[in-house]
Amino acid sequence: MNGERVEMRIRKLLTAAIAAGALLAGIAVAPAQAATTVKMILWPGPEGEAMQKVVDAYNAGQGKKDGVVVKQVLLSRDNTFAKEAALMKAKSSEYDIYFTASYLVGQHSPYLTEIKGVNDKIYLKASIDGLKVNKKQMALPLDTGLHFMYYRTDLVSGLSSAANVTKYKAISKTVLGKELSPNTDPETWTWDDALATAAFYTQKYNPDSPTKYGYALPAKNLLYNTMIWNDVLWGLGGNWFSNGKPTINSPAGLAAINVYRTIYTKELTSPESSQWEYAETNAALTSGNAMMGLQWNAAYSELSKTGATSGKVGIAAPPGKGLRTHVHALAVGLNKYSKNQAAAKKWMGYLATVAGMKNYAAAGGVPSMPEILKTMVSTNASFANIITYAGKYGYSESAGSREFDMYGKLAEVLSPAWVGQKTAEEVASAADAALKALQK
Amino acid sequence: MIRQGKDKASAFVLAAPLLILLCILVIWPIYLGIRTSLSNDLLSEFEITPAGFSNYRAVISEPNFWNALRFTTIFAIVVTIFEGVLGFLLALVFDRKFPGKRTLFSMVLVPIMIAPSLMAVMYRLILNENIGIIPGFLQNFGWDISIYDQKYIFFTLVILDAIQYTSFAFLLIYAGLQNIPQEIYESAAIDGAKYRQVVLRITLPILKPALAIIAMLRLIDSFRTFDTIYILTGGGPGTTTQTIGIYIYKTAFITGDFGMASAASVILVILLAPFMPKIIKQFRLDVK
Amino acid sequence: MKRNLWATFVIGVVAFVLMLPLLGAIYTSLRTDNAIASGPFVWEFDYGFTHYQNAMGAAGYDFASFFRNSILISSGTVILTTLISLPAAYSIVRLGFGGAWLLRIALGLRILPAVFFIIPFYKLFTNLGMVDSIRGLVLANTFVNVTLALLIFSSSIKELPYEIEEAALVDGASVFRILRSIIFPLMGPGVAAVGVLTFIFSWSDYLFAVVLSSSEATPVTVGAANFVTSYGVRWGDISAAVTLSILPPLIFATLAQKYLVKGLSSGAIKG
Repeated sequence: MNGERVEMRIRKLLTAAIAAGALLAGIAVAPAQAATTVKMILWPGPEGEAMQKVVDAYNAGQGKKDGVVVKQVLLSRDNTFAKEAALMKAKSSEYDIYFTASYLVGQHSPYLTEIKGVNDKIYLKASIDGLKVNKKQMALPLDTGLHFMYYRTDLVSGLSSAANVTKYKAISKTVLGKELSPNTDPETWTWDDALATAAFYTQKYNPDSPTKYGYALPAKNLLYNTMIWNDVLWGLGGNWFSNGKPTINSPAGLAAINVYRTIYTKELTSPESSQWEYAETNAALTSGNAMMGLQWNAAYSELSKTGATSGKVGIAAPPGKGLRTHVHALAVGLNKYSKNQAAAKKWMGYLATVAGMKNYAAAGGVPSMPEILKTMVSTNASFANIITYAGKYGYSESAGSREFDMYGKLAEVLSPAWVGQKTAEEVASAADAALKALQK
Repeated sequence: MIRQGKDKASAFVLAAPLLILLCILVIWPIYLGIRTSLSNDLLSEFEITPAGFSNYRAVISEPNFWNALRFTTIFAIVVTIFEGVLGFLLALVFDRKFPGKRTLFSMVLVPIMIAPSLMAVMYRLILNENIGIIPGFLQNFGWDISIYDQKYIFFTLVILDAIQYTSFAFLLIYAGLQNIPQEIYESAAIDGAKYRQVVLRITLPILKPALAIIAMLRLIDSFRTFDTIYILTGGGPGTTTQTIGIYIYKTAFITGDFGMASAASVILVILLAPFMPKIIKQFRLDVK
Repeated sequence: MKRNLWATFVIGVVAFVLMLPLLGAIYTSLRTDNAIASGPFVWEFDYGFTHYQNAMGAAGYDFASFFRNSILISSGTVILTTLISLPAAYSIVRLGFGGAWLLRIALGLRILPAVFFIIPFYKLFTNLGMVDSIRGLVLANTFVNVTLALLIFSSSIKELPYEIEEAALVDGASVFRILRSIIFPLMGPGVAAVGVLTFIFSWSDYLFAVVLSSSEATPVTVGAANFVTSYGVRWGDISAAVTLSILPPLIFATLAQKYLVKGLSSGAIKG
């Protein structure tokens, strides 16, 4: 009897052992085959939608080989960065990949892992360099953002008729104090040319003008508007800093503030433009109430197909001399606290190739890769300009870890002067003080 | 009327869930928030170091803070009175039978059903000079006024806030009106009282506690006004329409200084808190 | 009835003004993008209802899930808030619990800008494992609405004549019995008001939702904000989203109306 019991026990033990062994083996085998999920934050809109296509292609293709599944999470524009700020401060591991940009990478770099082994040559120089902090690559470029001077081609070419030339001279004398002749090549414009053209097409000075206002001025107290105004500053030879000292209070700086001030106080733009930013600027142009304005490159697709600018919108570099268009790259960076660093790196490796980003461009994104941009010029003419301007005229402020804050502070300090509430002199020294306080 | 004695135990039990909620969700975050206000907590800095009261000193000496506070106080008082009066009148009119009452009731509540952040975007659209229906409509009548003009912007913001929140005052006052027994009105009618007298001598006094609460709530909430103004003007041009809520948000997320933002929040509470007991007195808890 | 037609007219005008943003949204959601960008009165009907299609299913926008989340969060908040606040209010008003302090603290909380709570809440909820969950958002929204509920309930209870409870006490009823059988039924308007407002406020919460949700518990407000993109606003799409998003609160408010009825307590009062 004892023997039977013992046998039973041994059998039970054996069964248990085999079961346990199988279980352990199963567990040991499983992780190698289970995919790691990598979570990535991105902006909604063209970037998010285009990126979804890349994510889908990856998950269906290379992702399977890598054992990685990417999940994209979209947040709205203003709150993306605010939320990421909260996440970073809390040292969160919730997301593996953060959305960032050239103007934020200084602020974000303490929370990101350096990305090694990136092939610089496939990118636009300004874009890839703008994402380096202390020579380390902290993020991978996605879209490149820069500014164009958009204008109504029909109206600018119409300047050359004899009757208009006389009128133009008279109006420029009235509004700008000097007599100018029309310049129908916006690529060679000075700010005087731009302002005179805007005045010519403002009904207050020219009742025959088809547009109510000449210019669409984004003068809202918003940090993105500072980026646009910065082009005016650089085009006139100015800069935020010179030898480490703030120089907004300088002849160039004052002149730049006064360009905006003139546009607003001489009513070349709507009085409402004190609240305008990207969307309102576009609305002014597409509704035919304005005929020119400095605006982001991404506006081209809406402008070229909608309303009064449809088929009639031209692109020129911002007026002035030298480097004069702000260039920034939107980018993705690797969360230092992510628990899936290896998996995330595989995904990012895919993103750092031309093959990977081809889907991005096909879906409407504007990757910072000249090779792709060149092949897509037929779908979007502005891509040619992106390559040229970024190379010839592109600059980035690179003002350290508080660059993002500086844009915001400058908007706050300068916008009263933009809309004529204060003089340029009054705000310029305050601007320098604000920059000094944020310098690191 | 308050009953003592063994009811104390029941009192505790009844209030227990609230206390637990407060403990978890309030004590810990407030502790963290205050600790942040006493630290150098910048987004651009990895380390958080103690800072004593320097954040508080910075906020107090910052003119923007006081300007924002002044603007917000004026704004809050104006909208509270405006919306309180409008809400009261609306509730009075509603307090009778009339055709379409049910539909109109839901319609009147629509503004508070739209999230303030989305409402602000809608405002941005319909008020847009070039593609918005309101300026379009006004222009048809030859009114080419600029609603964002410095002269009118305050007025515009008040009206936008009123459109959004009058329904709130209305709903609470209307609910309060429902609690007034019909008999009181009937006996007043028998006594030959006119409508205006009824309202002034009967309705208003009964509603006083409710009105006080509504006013206080609205006042506090309007101090935190953020979405509409932020989306429409960004607090600008410059800082002319910057509310204290916008100031604190910008300090936290654009200037990236959480320490200072927390300090500003605490100072705000300290400044406003003394006014609370005055209004709570209206609502005397210990006397029937 | 005819003699109150003036009321219909007056309120009709007021309702029209108050509904302008919504009417603007509906109008915009039915036009093509080209029409929207060309001017306020350019009318090109969007036969394909593209904006509604986008609002309901475009890349990354899972509106069905946003809706479901919003409904769950709002309903949950209404229930939890009422369950917590009603007894507590009774305790404060009739049983003198906490005196004026509790209310003062609750009010003081409301003054603090939401920004003050964002990071602490995020940390707290992460530790509790409630980030990106419906439960977490219900808790956060309850926190926001408890003050209001407490105040409304306190005020309503105070308005109730004490005689009824006195009578019940004399009959030997326990506090809980009184709450359940007497107070609660009489609180029709109060509960309705709290219910409607709590539902609406939690439905329209944005800041906490942004911070505490990422993909699973995202409500409609955050989902719709995705149409405010880096490059311009998708006016048509966001208008469609706004139009769709007010339907549940609207239905809830319509249903709750019947509890906001006059004279609920008139039968119970003697003399």
